Amino acid sequence: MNRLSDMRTPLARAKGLGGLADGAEHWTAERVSAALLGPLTIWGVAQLLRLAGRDRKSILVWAGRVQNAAPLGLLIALTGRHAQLGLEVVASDYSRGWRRFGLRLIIRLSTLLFVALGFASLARILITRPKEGQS
Amino acid sequence: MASDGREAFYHGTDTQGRAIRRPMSPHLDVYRFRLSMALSIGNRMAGVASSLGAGLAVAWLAALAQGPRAFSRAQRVATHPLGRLVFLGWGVATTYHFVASIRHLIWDSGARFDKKEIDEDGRRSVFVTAGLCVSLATAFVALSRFRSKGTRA
Repeated sequence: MNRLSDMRTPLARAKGLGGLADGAEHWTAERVSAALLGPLTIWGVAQLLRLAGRDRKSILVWAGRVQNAAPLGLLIALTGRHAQLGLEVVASDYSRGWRRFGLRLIIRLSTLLFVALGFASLARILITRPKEGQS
Repeated sequence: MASDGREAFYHGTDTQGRAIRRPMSPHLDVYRFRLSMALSIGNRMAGVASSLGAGLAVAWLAALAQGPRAFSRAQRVATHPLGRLVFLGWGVATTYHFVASIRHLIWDSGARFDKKEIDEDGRRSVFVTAGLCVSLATAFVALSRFRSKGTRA
């Protein structure tokens, strides 16, 4: 963070007061991830309707296509990031001190795990996908 | 209550000179109920619910990647009445969070901040969310019934 743009006193900064120690970047990242998630969510809902009632094999064929796997990966990554930012705002509004620190740690770790699990699953589907002709 | 810098200001004495914890001024409970406040806290709760639901969705994706047995177990959970209720709740929460986010992005641009506009858009956001939820849920149920009938025949 640029120290010149930080309007807090050194004591306030050391105590971690204010918007999780980096207010403006946090706020902007939340809006940017939200704006990117808009079209991706519409795409995701359309795919959900496309896949409703299909069996496992056709879902695997769908996910194995690059034109589906790429936006799905992006949707997972941005959802994890946006959830992390949003949950941090909620946690920082209702907690202080060690509790806030602990909640922040839990939020960071679980949203990171969310993205890792999504990517690992997607990677496995792409490696083991059934051939399109066989479906 | 967590120890907090504000605690320092709550030390006082009563008319007998005994040390007491000074009363806090009333704040949240003095306001009349307004739609905008319910929509605001609703958006926050919808965001949290939407995140939790996304976690379940990724768990479902992991089961899909794992193999046929894990996937059929995941589908048993998802198609259980409780699982369907959770899925519906996730859908409603995400839909409302989506609609409310559009309002927030408009506010961030500096527009629609007048009291009248906020009330109008608030009511609209309720109707848009309800409409989207009903039509998406109907489409999802109709499509999955139609397709699963097709595979059984």
